[in-house]
Amino acid sequence: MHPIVIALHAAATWQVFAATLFGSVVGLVFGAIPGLTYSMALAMVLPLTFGMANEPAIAAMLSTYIGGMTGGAISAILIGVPGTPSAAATVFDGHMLAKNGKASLAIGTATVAAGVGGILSLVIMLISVQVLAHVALAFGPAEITALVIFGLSTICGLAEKSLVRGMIGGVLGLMVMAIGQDPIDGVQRFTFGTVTMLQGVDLLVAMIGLFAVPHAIEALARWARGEETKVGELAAKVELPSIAMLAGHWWNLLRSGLIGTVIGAIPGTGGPIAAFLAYDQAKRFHKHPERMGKGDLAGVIAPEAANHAVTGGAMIPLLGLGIPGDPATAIILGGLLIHGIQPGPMLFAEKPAVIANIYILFLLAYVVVVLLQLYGVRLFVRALRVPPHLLAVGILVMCAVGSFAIRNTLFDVVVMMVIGFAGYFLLRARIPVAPVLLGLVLGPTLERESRTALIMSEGHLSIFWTSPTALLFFALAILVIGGHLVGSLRAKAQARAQEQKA
Amino acid sequence: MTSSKSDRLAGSILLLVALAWIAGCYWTIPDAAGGARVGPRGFPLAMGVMLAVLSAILIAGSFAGGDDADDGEKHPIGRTDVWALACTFGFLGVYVALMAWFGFLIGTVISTALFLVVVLNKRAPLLVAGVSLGLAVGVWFILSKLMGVYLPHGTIVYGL
Repeated sequence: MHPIVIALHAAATWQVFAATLFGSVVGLVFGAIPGLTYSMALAMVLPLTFGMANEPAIAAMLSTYIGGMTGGAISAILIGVPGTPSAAATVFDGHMLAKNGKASLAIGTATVAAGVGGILSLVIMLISVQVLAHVALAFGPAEITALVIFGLSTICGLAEKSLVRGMIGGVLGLMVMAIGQDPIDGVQRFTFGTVTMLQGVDLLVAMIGLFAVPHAIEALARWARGEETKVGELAAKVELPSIAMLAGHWWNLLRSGLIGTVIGAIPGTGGPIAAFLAYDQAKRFHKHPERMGKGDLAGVIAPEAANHAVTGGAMIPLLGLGIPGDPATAIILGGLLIHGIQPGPMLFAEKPAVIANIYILFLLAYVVVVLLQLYGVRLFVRALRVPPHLLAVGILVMCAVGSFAIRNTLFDVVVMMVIGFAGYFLLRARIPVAPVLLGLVLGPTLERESRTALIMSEGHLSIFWTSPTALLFFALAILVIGGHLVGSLRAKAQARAQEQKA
Repeated sequence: MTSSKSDRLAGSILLLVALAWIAGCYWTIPDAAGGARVGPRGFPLAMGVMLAVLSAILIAGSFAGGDDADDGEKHPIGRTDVWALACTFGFLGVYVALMAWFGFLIGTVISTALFLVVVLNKRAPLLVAGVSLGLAVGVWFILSKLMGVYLPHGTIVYGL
């Protein structure tokens, strides 16, 4: 019997559907709550799968992973706080749409883009699993360093009006991630001799502090000034994007899906890089780039399609070579091993039905997650009616709980408060926080890989320009920065010309 | 405060942070060992120097013009901003202390109720009780009971 038929037969059971539904709900809830991640959800769901057969167990893990990724957009759009780091880029336009009374359209579009991005990545995974995994595995430290620098160049696109302010944000993020044990020698840096600081600042703690705390302060200040926004009944309507509208974004969807799949296939990168890169490219290719960041659907489609395409991309090295690309796929790998499934080239040869099963369950998880999210949109949009000053109390409680739950220490709550204060200072100083997040995400990889490359070359910088792949990424980074500078100079020249005319 | 003044203040604060960071790098982080070109100090030091340079550019830009110059807008930090800042960090400080002593449930109920009454001036007992109890029990039930997330156990009232 053909492996696909065997896999379909194994997947068509109520246990598989129940496990998919359970995993999707847990993932969506964890993803939606800032501070709780799909990695954490997976870690908690994993022990529950021990008593399950292989198919429901794989279904529960995959749907938790995908649900967690999808849920991040809910809070990003509704309250301007990304539920997961991957949804950070969705905040820019998604939350602006919510502020403009289009929250339901933003969530509907994000969900559809997520489904399209995820399924596109599945198709690419099916076609190119071995080839792409081979290319991604060929990346050494020099190539990854170049890729990260290319990723950092997207700060230009996030820097709003001033490149200097954007760069300040990026450098601050890189500095925060340098706190703790150094990744190569294990030397303590800025720990002040305390054990609690050895692990450094957790990315999620920093993210909560940066995004949620200033948001709560602003909400309270607006309430005190009597400027609180009140959402009417109309905002609760469910609105799916039209086929024509989606068709108008086909290139954005395809490009973002491809970016997400390729980035996802490169170990150590992941959703945030893919989302920011896709957002930056969407802005670059947009007919009216000035609309991005002000509530344009292209700014929701690009990051959501890209970060969901990462799920398929991350499965490529996992399935093809048994190498996890991020913490979530590492947990999934652990779960597969517990169930006697050893991912890698031999699995394709010996148990093709298992591989086919994973593809089918991956698709099923996307269908269930998308339906759940669409069905739940009415409930999510209702959250907008809660007065923002009361919502601020709930956000602060969740900030504290989320920061605590990551490592079970109240010290992280205090760290979150300090970063929240700094985030508010940056907001008032007109320094954008998105580049800070980019620095936070890319900082550890940049330092680890660049130093490893230098150790390999015995200190010679030539390692970075003798690799064609690294050179390609460096060239792309220079192109991005150069393009931004040329664009800024042109805009200034146009403004001057208009002033002279006036 | 105008944009240029705000930039000068922000740039000066960031410059001070950068200088303190650079000094911290030199004094507390050892240099590369075993002939390595870049040691544990290299990366943070480079970031500190970059921040110092960028802060200096921000300050210079506020005097010289360009897109970092005075845009004519006012950027005041009013009483309400200071009040909101104090309320937020006051709440979080009290909340952390109460969770450490009494655990998640009691800590959340007390701090939320206090916030609603003292800060938000809510006087309806039903609203105060509903929001504080609903929030605490809801979060506790979903996270702790349904999903098994570990929540703080107080040192005084263990287990709640």
